[in-house]
Amino acid sequence: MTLAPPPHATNWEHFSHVADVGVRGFGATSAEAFVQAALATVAAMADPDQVEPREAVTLLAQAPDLELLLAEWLNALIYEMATRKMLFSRFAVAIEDNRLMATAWGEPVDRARHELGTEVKGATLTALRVAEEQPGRWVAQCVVDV
Amino acid sequence: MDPGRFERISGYEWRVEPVGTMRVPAVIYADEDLIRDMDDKVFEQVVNVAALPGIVGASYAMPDAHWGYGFPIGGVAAFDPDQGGVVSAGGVGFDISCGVRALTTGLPKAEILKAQRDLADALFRHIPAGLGSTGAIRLDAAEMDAMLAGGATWALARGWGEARDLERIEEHGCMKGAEPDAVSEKAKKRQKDEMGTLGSGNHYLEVQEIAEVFDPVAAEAYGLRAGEIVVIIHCGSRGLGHQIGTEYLREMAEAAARHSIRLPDRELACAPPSTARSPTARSSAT
Repeated sequence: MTLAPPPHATNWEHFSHVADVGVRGFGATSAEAFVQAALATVAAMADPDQVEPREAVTLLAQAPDLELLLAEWLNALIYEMATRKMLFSRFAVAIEDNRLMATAWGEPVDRARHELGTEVKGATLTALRVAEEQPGRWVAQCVVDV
Repeated sequence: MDPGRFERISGYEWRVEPVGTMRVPAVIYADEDLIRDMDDKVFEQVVNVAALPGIVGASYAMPDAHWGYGFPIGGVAAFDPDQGGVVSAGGVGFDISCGVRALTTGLPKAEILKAQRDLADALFRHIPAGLGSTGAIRLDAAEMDAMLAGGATWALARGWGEARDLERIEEHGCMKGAEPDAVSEKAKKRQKDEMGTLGSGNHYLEVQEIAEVFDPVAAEAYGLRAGEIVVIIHCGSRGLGHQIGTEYLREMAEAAARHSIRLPDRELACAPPSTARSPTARSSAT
């Protein structure tokens, strides 16, 4: 198994959307912004700092454009977390031609040890935006349904 | 919202005449206070829906309208398939088969207060809720399909309800023509451990007192009496419903592109009912 990367520096934020929550990640590349958007998604469910990177899961996603790829990526993560009953805290993401290859590291949900927030059911296309706002500063955001 | 953005038809009806890509007017039913309290996004969304192909009459929003996905929550629209009408994922939403139920107890508040703490402890002990919770019900593939096809009648047959419960559920708890085969294995897998759980987020189970009755005839018909206790349950859809919604949203986005339908909002992804991967899309996403 590939070794998990060290903890990611925090470069994400939540934004409000009526009863749901928006996730927004920043990065020097689209892949880094996707990693931060994933962290923001996990952070709605638990504190990523409390999630040990014990197990690795490989994910693939593809879409007609980068914005839909963000939704596909987050939905793939949410699906793996829901069906494996896991939380993820470390990510390695590569994006090429609107195709994404990733590894996510995490561990099973432990209701005694993890301070749990709300369950995220899926990514939506609302407030969906992936763009290089300035040279070397990417943003990747959408609303997730909780 | 600014009521000035609408033509006021009456104290309770507000209208936007078609402009731009709108095919029909947009109509909101609400009093002025409700209009002022509504998010500007309701205006945008009810207007966007008016631009969908084959829409009949008008794009409507009810007094409880608020910002949804594509459609406003509380949005109503009809589409004529003979006029290029569509089925839109935004009109179905992600929370497929989510709902709220009121369970009458027939018990006065004083009776419940006597056992308030024990009752609360018992509810927390017996009802799996929150992130990471799992239920006691395990379904194999055949039972999963039977549940999807039978709905509440399936639950009743397993002993988890009473026959009269069905009288109070729309469609008697079972949509005719449901096709479990139109639900992906991924969606079914997501339901496996969530069966019999309440959920998280805005899902809840609350023990409530009927504080005031506004319509005595309707209240009596439902067995609701002031001072008595009801249990209100908001649950349903869960990962299963969301997964179905997400998968068909993606499919409809591709179908819309194939049919050269221009979407004012990607959440309004839609397709003519005859081609929306007929007939499976229609049966699982309506």
